[in-house]
Amino acid sequence: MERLDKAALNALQPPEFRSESSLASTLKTLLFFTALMITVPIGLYFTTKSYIFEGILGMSNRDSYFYAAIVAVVAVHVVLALFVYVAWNEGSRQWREGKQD
Amino acid sequence: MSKTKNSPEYASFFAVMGASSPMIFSALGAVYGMGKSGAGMAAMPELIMKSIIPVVMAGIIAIYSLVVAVLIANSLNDGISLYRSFLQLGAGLSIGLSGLAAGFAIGIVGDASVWGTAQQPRLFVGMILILIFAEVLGLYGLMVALILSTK
Repeated sequence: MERLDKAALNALQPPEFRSESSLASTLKTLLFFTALMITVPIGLYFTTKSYIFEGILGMSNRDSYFYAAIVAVVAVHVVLALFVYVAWNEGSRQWREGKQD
Repeated sequence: MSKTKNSPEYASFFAVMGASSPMIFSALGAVYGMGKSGAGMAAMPELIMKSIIPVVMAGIIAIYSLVVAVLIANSLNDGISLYRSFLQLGAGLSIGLSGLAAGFAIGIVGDASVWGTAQQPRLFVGMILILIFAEVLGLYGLMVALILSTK
């Protein structure tokens, strides 16, 4: 009951009462993951298609697009798993700090 | 230089529709998912990363359809046969409409789960599981689209 009240009070406080550094670090993490999600899957899609599947393995155009699509899907899931892991740890650290207060 | 075309003139219409329909329909689904579940950030402004997870998953639907749209658009040419253009249309519609459905599911589930996780943090694992199930629908559409498009 007390923890819910504390969480509600914490949510109602204006942002400058909470630590500026936590907001800045959250924003930095979010920007990092946004850039990762934009560049890694599509970048791997095109680079593996041209350099690995057509360059090294020498497949046809359609086949290399097909296998590069599989690489892009795997890359998307890797980035997503990393994001969920970071989000998980963010939550548990903050709830632990709330209990010690 | 004359080229005998055994395909009708309108054949490329279906293939071009198949190239644009992934992005058209998945954009609707992904944006609905992002909008509906992103509103849940108002419930827990200090756990922003957790409340953005449904938004990221809705964005992944759009990435699937981008991959398929590039794949289909690169197989378009002037004298495409009617059979191949129907294949491209089917591939595009498959990922487009299943991405639309997955985006709707992610939006509804993400919205309710983020508001619930603000009250009860143990709901987070259930939210992730249901979101994964909803996104796998888009993955099934992607698989069918890849099979059809490279036939």
